[in-house]
Order: sequence, then structure tokens, then C-alpha cells
Amino acid sequence: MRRTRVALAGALLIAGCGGAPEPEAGAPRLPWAREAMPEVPLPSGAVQTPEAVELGRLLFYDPVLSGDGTLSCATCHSEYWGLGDGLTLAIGKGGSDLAGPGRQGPALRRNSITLWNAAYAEHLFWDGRAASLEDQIRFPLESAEELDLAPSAAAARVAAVPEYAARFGGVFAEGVSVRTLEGALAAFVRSLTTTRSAYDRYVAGDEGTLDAGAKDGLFAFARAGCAGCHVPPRFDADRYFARGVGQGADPGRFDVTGDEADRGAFRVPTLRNVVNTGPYFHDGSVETLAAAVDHEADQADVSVGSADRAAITRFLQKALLDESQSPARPAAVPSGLTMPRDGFRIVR
Amino acid sequence: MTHPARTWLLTCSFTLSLSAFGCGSSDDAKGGEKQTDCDVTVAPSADDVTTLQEALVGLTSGQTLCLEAGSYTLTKELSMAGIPHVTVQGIGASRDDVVLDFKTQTEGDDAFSVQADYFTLQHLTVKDPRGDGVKVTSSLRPTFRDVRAYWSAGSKTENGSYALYPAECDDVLMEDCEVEGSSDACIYLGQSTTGIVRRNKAHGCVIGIEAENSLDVELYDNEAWNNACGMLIVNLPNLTRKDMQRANAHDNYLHENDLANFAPPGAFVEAVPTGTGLLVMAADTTEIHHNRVENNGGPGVTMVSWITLQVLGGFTQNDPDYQPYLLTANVHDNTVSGNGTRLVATYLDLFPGGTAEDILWDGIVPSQTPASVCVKNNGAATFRNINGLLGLDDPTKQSTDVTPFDCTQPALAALPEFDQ
Repeated sequence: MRRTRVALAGALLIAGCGGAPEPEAGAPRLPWAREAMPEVPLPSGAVQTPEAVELGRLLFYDPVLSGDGTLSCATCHSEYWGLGDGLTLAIGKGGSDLAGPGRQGPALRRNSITLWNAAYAEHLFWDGRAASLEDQIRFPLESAEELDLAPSAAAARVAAVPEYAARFGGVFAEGVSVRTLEGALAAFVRSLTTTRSAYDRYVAGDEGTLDAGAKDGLFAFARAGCAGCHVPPRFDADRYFARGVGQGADPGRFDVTGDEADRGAFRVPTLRNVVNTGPYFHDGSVETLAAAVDHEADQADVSVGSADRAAITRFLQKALLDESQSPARPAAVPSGLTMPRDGFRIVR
Repeated sequence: MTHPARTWLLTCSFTLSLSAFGCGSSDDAKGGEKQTDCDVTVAPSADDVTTLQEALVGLTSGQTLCLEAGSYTLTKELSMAGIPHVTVQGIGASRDDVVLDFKTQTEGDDAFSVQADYFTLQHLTVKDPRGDGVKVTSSLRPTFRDVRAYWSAGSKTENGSYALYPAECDDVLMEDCEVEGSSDACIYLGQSTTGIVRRNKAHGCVIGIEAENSLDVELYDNEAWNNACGMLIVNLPNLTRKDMQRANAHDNYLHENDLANFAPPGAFVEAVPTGTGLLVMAADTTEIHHNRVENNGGPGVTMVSWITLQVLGGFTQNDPDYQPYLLTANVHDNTVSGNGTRLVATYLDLFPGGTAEDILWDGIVPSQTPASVCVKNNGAATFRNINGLLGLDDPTKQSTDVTPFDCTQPALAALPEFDQ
């Protein structure tokens, strides 16, 4: 819906006011085909209304979905930390009271992957084991190390909260069920998109949105071959590669496919909002964006000099940043439980 | 209800009749340069959210969005990202004529969130945000100019924490603004590098003007009154950007800051005692000069380390990169008078006699490091050195002798004007 409005406004600007240059004539240069962010794909039967998104938002922050009533989805996917958690490795059940970097507790085996633009992914998680947003939600629910609550039990708990029962009834004819629980959460995650970055404006014809440094980075990014995997405009891919990160202990995509070629391979993550989604890679072993760029540049097919590396970093920092659709944290959740507190961000 | 597209088209047509630049054409593409003529002009409508949000989305770099006089009813947060060199400005006779009214806001954390370089907001009023007011984050050279922001219900705990809030920005300019009612800071500059805060008025907030975890900040010609604390220069743990260094606060007028602290429970500023004129906490290289700090109920100028908060307030922190000490403060040529006669409980713990001095230092320094605080030429201002943990335990170990602090430190240079 929002994308439609953006496109409409852009069209009016050109047609109604003659303001922006035609993309074909005098449009800002790109090292690849000009393509705007696509519409979010919707599986058949998905309900993507504002009411469904709002319901999903409340569930996302509500610890009612954890066995012990202390964790929510936002514990590991906080808007404060790029829809990740700022940790090297995620910490689920049994962690300290506080969320965010510095959280203590038993570490899971992988870094919390950002949810930005998860709406577009054909498969979810670092190893792609979930086939859809609806499907992926049962993984953290069922994991004994994470939310640790059977989906059916989660649905029963939610149904027992009058506000949820009413909201579900207003969105889904069948009321609360495992299916509608997944549907509501998926609707919320589908709303977490980035379509208004400086890069998007640039693609739409506004040359001035990228300064010289970021523009240099755009072309350096292409020269270094980065776009072969981090494919614009999403700057990700539904593909899996081993990039020499970690010690090889994690089989990665192999766990899903059983194909030796996939051993140690992980999803190509989106680079949108990447400045805020560190630490980087599936094991969170690379702390800074500049170091992540270095790691990848070292493996490029062409030599990537220090100036290009710095320019690529700047491009990623400035041109691909858009948190305008960042979710709002509710003041309270319908269950009445205490939301996980982000202790590494001063209350403000 | 007007269809969004129709509203936008009407707006655009209207602009053509008002502005010599119309809506802009390929001929006047500005290549990112800042202009202040109106490229797009909007007026209050039946659907102000759509009118304004669509106008913001439709801007291109270097454009100016003008708001005609009137009140805009906004039920939803406005946002803009990724468009540099944009100005949003009121074009009424004064900022009071153009009001963004968020009284009925139901969606969004803040009133207006921006993530775009070289953004300017000027000549308008932001009223009753549901949460914080105008937030500009991760951006280069934002400007807040001649903006009024306030909560009409007065100083309430339910009000948003901050009215004007640039964070994680570089080269910030905040000038000629007036804020009232924030439940944290009226005017906040945080986690930023290089910022000028000048000629602003702040009142009715917990903190009038706050500089937090920033490098190279100049605060001058501001007036703060009727807050719990007039001005706060602070280094806090667990923030993305570390350290508060080189704050230069001069020619400010901080007076009658006696408002009962109404911060929500759990916020750090809940611990700031009512009656504080200027509080410096755990900052490095702070210069405080030529200010008037008068008639605040507690001490006029208070300088403390995080350690004091730990001891007195029970605060804890677990940030390995945090620097908890007040390092190198230079307090000179101020008029600090009439403070410390209306102490609240927190200060009464320190001053059982019922009155406090004009200038207070907790005396806590890193071990083996000599005192680096200078207090000189502050007229008849009285002074107390708590003398660290010794003096906290035993008041007889405290001192009111300022002569050991009669020293001079290099002056901080005035910051250059930014090309916003």
C-alpha cells in the first residue's frame, strides 16, 4: 500500500509538475539496470491490512509468546538494533533480564539476522530453512533455546487474552488459531520494508540524493562485483555462499539441503540498513561494517583498493539507510506482561 | 476524505500560482544545494496527514516544502528519509502561525522523524506530540531554527521525553527555538559530533538544554528557566557513541530552575535533583564561562562523576567503554549567585544545613590523577568541594575554599559556522 503511494507521488511529480528529469533522459547514472524496489509479494490467503499489521506488532513485542513469559520476538529483533539485537550471537531463553548488546546468557549458534525486508525473502533464516514468513514463526516458538512454546499452546494463550481475541476476530474470520497467529506476525514483518533510502531516490531520478563519496561507492560496489550477490535493488539474494567466516563448524545450508556443496554456506543478507545491523555474518564474528567490507573485498575477483573500500563503506552507510518504517514499540501489550527491556539503550 | 493523489495534485497546482519556482522543473534541478524559496507549498486540508506526508515523499533533493499559516491536524507520525538538502518551513507571519498539531495523534512514536542529510526545519510550531517531537537521526548537518515545540497540558510525566532531538548526527545547528513541557529535555543534542545550540529558550521541562555523549559542542546565549535543571552536560553509559568532550557553555542565562522533577520512573533524568542550574556529569574538557546562573533552588553549577550517582543514587552500569569521571572542567567569569536556598531532599542529604553553595564539585578524580578543575573569577560565588568519597562519608572533610582551584586552562575555540 505504502509503495503504491510512493510511486503515485513520484508519477505526479513528473506528470503534474514537470519537476523531475525523465529517467531515460539525463537520469542519474547507475552501473546496473534501473530498477525500483518491487512490491512485497503476498502469498495467497495472506491478510495484509493495517489491522493485521497492528495485531502482529502487538504480538511481536508481547512475551506472551514465550514459554516463561520473558522473551518476545523483539528481544532478538529490536528496532533499536537494526531489527537484530546488536549481539555477536543471539541469546534466547535463560538470558539476563536486559536485551541488546551486553545481554548475558547462553548463546545460540548464530547471529540474529535482521528482519528488514524479510518480506521479500523466498526462504528465511541464515540457512533458509523456512519457506515463508508464516512458516518461519514456528521455528523460534518451538525451539527449546528460544521462545520454547508449542504453537498450539501459544494460540491458546493468546486466545485467552480478551483484547487479542477481539482483535483477531476483527481481522480473521476464524479468530485465534496457529494459522492466524502466524498470519498476523507475518503481516507485521511484511511491513518492515525499506523503500525510501537515498539510493531509492537516486534510482527514481533524483541525482542530488547521493553525494560524491556515496556515488563513488556505488560504482566501486559494482566494480568489485558485490552486486553479483547483493543484488540491487534489494541488495540481497535468495542464494547461499560460504565466505570463509567462522571455523567451519556450522554446516549452514547443508543442514537443509544435504548437499555437500552447501556446507558452510549461508544466506546473502540484505545490505539495506546494514550500518545498523552489526555485528556481521552468520556468526557475528565481524564487528564493524568497514571490517565486513574488507573481508568481502579480500575475496573479490578483482583487486579492491583502500579508497574503493572506504567508498563502498560510505555508500552502504549513507545510501542504503532508511529506517522510516521502523516499528513503534507499544507502551504496553495486551497480555499485561512486561516487555523485554533494552538495557543497553538509556530509557528515553 | 480527499483522495491522496488528488490532494497532492491540488497542492501542486496551488504552488504553481504562489511560487515563481512552481514545483520545480528539470531546468531548476538544484544539484543538492540548499534553497529557501518554496518548491512545494501546502495548506491545511481535510486530511493533513496525507497532504504533508505525500508532499514529503514527493520532494527531491534541494527542495523546500512550505507550510501556509494554519493548524495542521496530524493523527500520525510524519517521516522523511533519504532526501538531502530539504527544508521544511512555515511561511506564516511568525512560527506561531503554522502549527503542526499532534493532539489527536494515534500512530507513531514521534511527531516527525527524519533521516536525511542537510535537513532544515524552521519557522513553525509543533504541538502536543504523542511521544517525542522532531527526531533527526544519523544525519549530517541538521538545522532546527525558530521552531516552537510544546505540550499544551504543561509539564506532565505523560509528555514525550524530547521535543527537539538530533542524535547520532554531525554538525548540528539548533537556534532561536523555544520548547516547553518535555518529560526529559526540552532541547537535546546527543551522540553527535560538532553542534551549536544558541539563542534558544527552554522552560517547563525536566532538563532545559542537554548535551549528551557528544564531541565539540558550543551552547550559548540560551535561556533556561522553570525546569528541574536548566542545562545538563553529560556522559552516559550504554550509548552508541561514547564520551562527552569539549562542551563550551557560555553566555547562557539559567535561572529559577525549581520545577519539581516529573520524569517518568526509570529514566536517568529522574535522578537529577530539582533546583539545579547547570549540571556537568562525567564530561571531559568542559568550559563554563560568562554565564548567569542565578536563583536556582539548588547549587548553580554542579560538577559530578558517575561515581557519585552510584553512591548516592544506587545507579549501576556495565559498559566496558564508559569513562565515568568528570575530567578537566574550567569554570570562569560567570555570575553565579542566589542559588542553593531551596534544597530538595537529594541535596539536603549533601547539605544538612539546608543551604548549598553556588558552585559544587564532588571532588572525585581517577586515582593518581591530580584535580583538573579550575574555578576562577566567578564574582562572589560560593564554592564547595565535597572531596570525594571521604567527604561524602564525613562532611568535615569537605571544603569551601576555592583558592586551590584558582587556575587557568586553555580556552575552547568557538566553533565555526556550518554551511548548512
